[in-house]
Amino acid sequence: MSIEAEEAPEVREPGFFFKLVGGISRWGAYLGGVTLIVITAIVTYDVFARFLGHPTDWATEVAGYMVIGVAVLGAGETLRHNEHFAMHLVVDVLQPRVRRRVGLVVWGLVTALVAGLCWGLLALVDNSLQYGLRSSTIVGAPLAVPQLVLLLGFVALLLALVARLVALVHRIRKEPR
Amino acid sequence: MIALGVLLFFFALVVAGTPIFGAMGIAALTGVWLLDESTTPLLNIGLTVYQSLGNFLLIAVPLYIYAGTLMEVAGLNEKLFRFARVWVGAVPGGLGVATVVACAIFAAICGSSVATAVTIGLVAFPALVRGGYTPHFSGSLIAAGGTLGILIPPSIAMIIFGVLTEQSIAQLFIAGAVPGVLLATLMAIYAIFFSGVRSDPTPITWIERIQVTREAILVLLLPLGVLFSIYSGLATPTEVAALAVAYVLVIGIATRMLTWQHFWDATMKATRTSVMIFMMIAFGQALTEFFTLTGLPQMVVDMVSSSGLGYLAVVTLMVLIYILLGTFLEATSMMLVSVPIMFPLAKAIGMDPLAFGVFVVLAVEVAQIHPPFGINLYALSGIGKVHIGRMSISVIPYIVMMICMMFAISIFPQIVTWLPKTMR
Repeated sequence: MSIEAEEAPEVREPGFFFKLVGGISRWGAYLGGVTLIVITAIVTYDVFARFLGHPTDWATEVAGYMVIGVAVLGAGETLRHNEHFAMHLVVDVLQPRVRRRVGLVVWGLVTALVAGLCWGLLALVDNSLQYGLRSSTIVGAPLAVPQLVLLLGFVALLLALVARLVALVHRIRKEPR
Repeated sequence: MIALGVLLFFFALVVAGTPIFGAMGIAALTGVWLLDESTTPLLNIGLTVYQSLGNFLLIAVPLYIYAGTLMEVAGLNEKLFRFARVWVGAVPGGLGVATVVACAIFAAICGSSVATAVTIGLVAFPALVRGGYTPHFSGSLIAAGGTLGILIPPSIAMIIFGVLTEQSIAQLFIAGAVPGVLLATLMAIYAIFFSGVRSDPTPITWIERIQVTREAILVLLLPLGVLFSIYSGLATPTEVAALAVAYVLVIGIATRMLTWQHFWDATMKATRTSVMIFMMIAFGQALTEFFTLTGLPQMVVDMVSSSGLGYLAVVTLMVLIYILLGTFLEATSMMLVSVPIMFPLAKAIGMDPLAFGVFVVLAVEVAQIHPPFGINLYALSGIGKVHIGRMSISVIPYIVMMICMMFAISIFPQIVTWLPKTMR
């Protein structure tokens, strides 16, 4: 384990698919970053509005929904920076051949998890749209919107995970026999 | 039995190098599937992830990360360290004491342990080594001082604890203040007596002191404002976090220490760090729900209750469990996995929830400076190119201090509870 993350295997892979995934991940993180700036602005505005005697009834709720964007839109890019926390102490002592295969299994499992989650979130969004679900607050926000943002973030992560799996398979194929 | 099997499976996944969020999610989903109590496990995990990330209390987490990252990229850490140096550098081990003081002040702005260690470490480490301190002493001092970041308010660890246990985050923040100051004092005393270095050799005049203080005053006002606003109830922890970001931006721009590139870099870095923490929170919640389904927390409480162990014995057991967990898990995941199981136990033995909150945060601090997951050690190893093994030995006295503090607040919870009780 190191504070300086290693470069992810998919980052230097050539080809349209990897470029596309890289672009989606990067733009996801940009959107997440802009969302963070907007949240700061909303909460700060709310404090000043309250001090001036005009408290808002929407700021906390809207900022709360926007946090979902910060939490997931950059998930793919965080993966490409290898910044999702993991323990590599044991794996690092394995032979490179074995390590790549363990990596393939591990990332395969994570990809399956995220694919399953995307399916679950799709059902959630569908359910919210079908019944027109809204928050039981003054804002009455349609729940499908933050749920859709969550789904988009995890789809970006899923694509980044598939790119990692493909990159790992490429590396295993290139191993000398 | 299924719960224990899933817990072991989770650890196996972690050891195999699975990202912690993935290990939590896979273990939770496997557990739910084995229990066979849900017909829609994927929809349920989706709902859990949505609900946990939609918790309004979590708004403060990325904002405190953002404030700390902006401070770091704007180089405001140098002003803080120089301020601490001119005021306490004259005592024996003065640079070491100045490092602890700078860490404590930065901790009152930023809620992250590793951010505190890195930000202060970047300026303090070279100064300490130049001042005659050994690299491993310097590294371990900064790594330990960095942990004050999650004890002295504000604290991201306290926010997560508050969300998990439904405790007031403002009260939790204030509860960490006295133990934080006590721990910082212990660290400073240790630096005075055991650094083996006399006072800072650079002579400091009163004019210099006043000049450095004047330069640092804008940065120093921030921790005071943060603590006062939370303590007085003038603003919520989330509002204080947003104001801290805005304040750092304003003084960064006013002092021309923050460029557009710095700002954007900090935004991206804070976003990725937030993603990393939020993913663990979301999937940690899924694992917690699985454990609740199996009744594991209640089983642990019943087991300990029927064992006839006294208060101190249970506290000792909890300390040992946390040290063991810290050997296998990274700090945030350690909290997410343990608190839902340990909090009912702490309540069952009559431990004050605020005291338990500080107890857990101290356990997290220990985990952050002891191998193999002591992330602060790795951070300092990266900054100073210090051998991790030597630092792991130098850090032992700080670990002992933190464990003693865990016992102290368990036996005398007033250390933690008296200040929150005086809040409005």
